[in-house]
Amino acid sequence: MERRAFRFARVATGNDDDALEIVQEAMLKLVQHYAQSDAAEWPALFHRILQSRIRDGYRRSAVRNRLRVWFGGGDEEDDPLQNQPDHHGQGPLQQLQNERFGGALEQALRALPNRQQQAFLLRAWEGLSVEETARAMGCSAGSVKTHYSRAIQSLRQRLEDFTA
Amino acid sequence: MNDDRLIERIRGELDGRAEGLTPSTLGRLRAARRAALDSASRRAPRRHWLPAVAASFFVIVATGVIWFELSRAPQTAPQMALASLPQIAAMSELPLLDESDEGDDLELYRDLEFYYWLEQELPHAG
Repeated sequence: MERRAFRFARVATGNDDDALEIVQEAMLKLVQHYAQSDAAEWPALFHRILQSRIRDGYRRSAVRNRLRVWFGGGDEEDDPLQNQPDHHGQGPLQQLQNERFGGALEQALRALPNRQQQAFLLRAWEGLSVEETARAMGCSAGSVKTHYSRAIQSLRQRLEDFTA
Repeated sequence: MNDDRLIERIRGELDGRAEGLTPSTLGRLRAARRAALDSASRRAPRRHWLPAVAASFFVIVATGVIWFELSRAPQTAPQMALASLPQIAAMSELPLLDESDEGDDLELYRDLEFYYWLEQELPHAG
């Protein structure tokens, strides 16, 4: 579970350290506050905590970025290909295509507003229902549908080169 | 490519990335999990104090309630006396009626119920 949680946080934060910190905080909170809860509820609770931590991290990073712009040093560009995993056992062309798609996907997901990003990842990747996603995000089912639909639309546009 | 195929491809890519985390990241994630579990085991002994704390709290509250009830008991009589002041005042007006020398009026008051009944009945009787 923590691998996927890490990927969630990594997409949202854009760097490994922040993502690890978020996952660790979410695990700690789950254990400290919900250890007595029914084990079947743990995944949903963990997602809820994780999404809440991601939102907090998102706000913190927005403030940090603003400060960086004000005080200089805002021209550091994160290279999305820097942390790409190796795709073993594939031909060079396929590997290159996958890497290109991976990089473009990373950028497309990062470009989504936080709520759209969460709705998309929870629904499409984690496989949660609309209601479960709404609970995890702390919003209505209607909002989830709207965010999800906009996310798909945006991803389709940004990944146009790979969807032909 | 329709939405389902796009989502399928994205899901495959994300799964691949989750599986392909570097050993260093995996190690840090394992350490985070261990730290969370350790914190749970450190917190666990605290819960043994809960029944004792709850029992102490109950005893304190029960003592407080009993003490409050006991200390309230002597005040009940004066409170009743204060509450009955209007009745006493009303009773003190009774002699005024007696002293009025209008015995017929007193009779009238006593027979009010009868007159009321009479008023109700007469129209039907007539």
